[in-house]
Amino acid sequence: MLTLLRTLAKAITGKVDALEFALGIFFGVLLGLLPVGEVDPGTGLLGLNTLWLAVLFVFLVLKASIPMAVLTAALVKLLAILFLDAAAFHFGQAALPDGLAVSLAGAVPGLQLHTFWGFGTAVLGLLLAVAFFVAVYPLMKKRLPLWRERFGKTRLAKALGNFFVFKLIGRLIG
Amino acid sequence: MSLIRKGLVAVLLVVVLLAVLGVLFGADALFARALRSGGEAALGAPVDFEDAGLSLFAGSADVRGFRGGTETHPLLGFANARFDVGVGAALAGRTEIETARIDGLRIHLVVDEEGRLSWDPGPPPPQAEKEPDAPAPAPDAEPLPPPAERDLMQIAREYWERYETYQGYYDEYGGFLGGGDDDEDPEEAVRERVRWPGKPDAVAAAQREAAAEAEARGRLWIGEAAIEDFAWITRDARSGEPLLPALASCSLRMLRIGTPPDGGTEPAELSGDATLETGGALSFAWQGSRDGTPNGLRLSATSLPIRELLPLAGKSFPFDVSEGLLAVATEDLRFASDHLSGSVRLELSGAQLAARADSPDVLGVDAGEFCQLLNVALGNQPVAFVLRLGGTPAAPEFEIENQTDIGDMLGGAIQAEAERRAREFVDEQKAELEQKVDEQKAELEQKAEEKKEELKQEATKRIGNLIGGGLKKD
Repeated sequence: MLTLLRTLAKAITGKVDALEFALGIFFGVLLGLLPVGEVDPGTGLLGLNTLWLAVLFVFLVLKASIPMAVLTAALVKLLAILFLDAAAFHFGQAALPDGLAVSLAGAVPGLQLHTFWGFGTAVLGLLLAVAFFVAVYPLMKKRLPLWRERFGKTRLAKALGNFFVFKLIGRLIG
Repeated sequence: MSLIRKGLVAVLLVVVLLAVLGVLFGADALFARALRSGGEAALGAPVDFEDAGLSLFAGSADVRGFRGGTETHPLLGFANARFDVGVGAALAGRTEIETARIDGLRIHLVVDEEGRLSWDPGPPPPQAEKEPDAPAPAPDAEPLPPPAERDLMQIAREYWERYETYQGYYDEYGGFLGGGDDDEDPEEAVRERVRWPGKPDAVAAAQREAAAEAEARGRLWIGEAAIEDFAWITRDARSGEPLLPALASCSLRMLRIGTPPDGGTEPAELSGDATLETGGALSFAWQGSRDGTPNGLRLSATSLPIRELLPLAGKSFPFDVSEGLLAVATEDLRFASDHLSGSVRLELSGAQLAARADSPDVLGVDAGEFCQLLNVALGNQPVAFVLRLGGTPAAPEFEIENQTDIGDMLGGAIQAEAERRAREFVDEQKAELEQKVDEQKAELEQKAEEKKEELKQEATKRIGNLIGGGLKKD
């Protein structure tokens, strides 16, 4: 919760821009929904889903908000356990064509896209991530300057900014 | 890049570095564990060794004091082994042994009182399913004797027929060299580990096909290997005798065995030289073709003691053989699945044959009579046969070309027998004649004696009469 508050505070006080914020959500959705481990035994990288590792790498390379991504991933993982995994699996069962699956299994088996769950989470995750990004980015871009202006003048912002935990995190994050 | 981002990347790098260091410094322990579990799975028996080391940088592995089996039922062992392995191939899932050397390899081969080999995993359970395409036994095949009466060839034949009939069972639960699939069902393990497992059937089928193709291509390559100081330790518990002649020395060499990594077509080679403790010698060289031409085999064996080969194939031969020496030599022997050519020369010297109740007649001669004649012939000279091979390995055809002509040999034997019998007859007649002569001589002597006595009495009588007449005149 503190992370969320800190991120929000940073976003509002100008230390995180709208794109960084939206990208954090985008990658958080993907990382939270994609299975971490391999779904088809023996096809992953050291037992891990190569697609998840690839997304993690891209996420670390791009300038995306790490706290926002972690928070979003945790939230999406919770939803996945509740119903999104089942939905993705059934979507994969219904939507994955045999020919494509065989091609993917032969060319890039590590990505797990030839499995029902791997394919379903990848497609569903991408759709959700894009949807969230499209929804959040314009909103944040439009509203953020106004919120910054209003929020920066409030006592809460000053309090948050002066709270030693946030100061410490602020130094660490830079 | 922010500090936390740099930190995460640093953490990832440290984890990777630790994993690499762990593999490097823990390679020996990992290798030892893999050798133990893999060895036990392959042999179907406990495995132990004094030391095992793996160098990832050098791509080499060493094993010392390896023993497979238990103290009471050992299967095999060796003193030292060193393998130079292709690291790149190993990472790609292939085993490429560039060079290998094994010293002091010992293979234990024991047949127990019930005629069961120590390597036998046992018969399958009654519910085991037969292979639908298992080859049916040949209609003219000789039935095997009871297990306790079989020689090693017959034991091996029964094992092979059993394996072909229940191949699926032995592949799953362990074959004649142990092995078999792991007890854990991989699909079951995935279901436990993965919350939403599953893939299209087409993918599963394609993966099975790819795995089968890879399996067919082979994953093993041995560039060059040598086995020095090899020996087999054999014992037939039914007789307490060894199953095979003891080796005084033996070395084996292998070249280009397995699936060539570069698709080469040079032939695979396996060769060896051995001497027996009894003085015989054995040498062979097998050449496995990769270009479609037939395989080759050169075999040369001299002074093999027949007595020591009896546990191997004595009961497969239709006559009881004892003593003597056997020599075997092949000439341009070539074979493929649909081709068999060349010749095998067998030479028997000093052997003694005896007919059994079920021994067949040979060349129209009663089995017992044949053995008697052959033994006479073998007493005079070695007997050599050349088998000219044809047909296929599964259905071989051969013609016997006699270096020692059987007709001449048996003719000579018959002549010798006739001479022997004539000599016996003459001797017998001679004795009778001599006896008759002696009897007649004795009779004549007796008659002469009687005549002599008679004449003597007559003379005495006449002298008496003459003396009596003279006295009367006086």
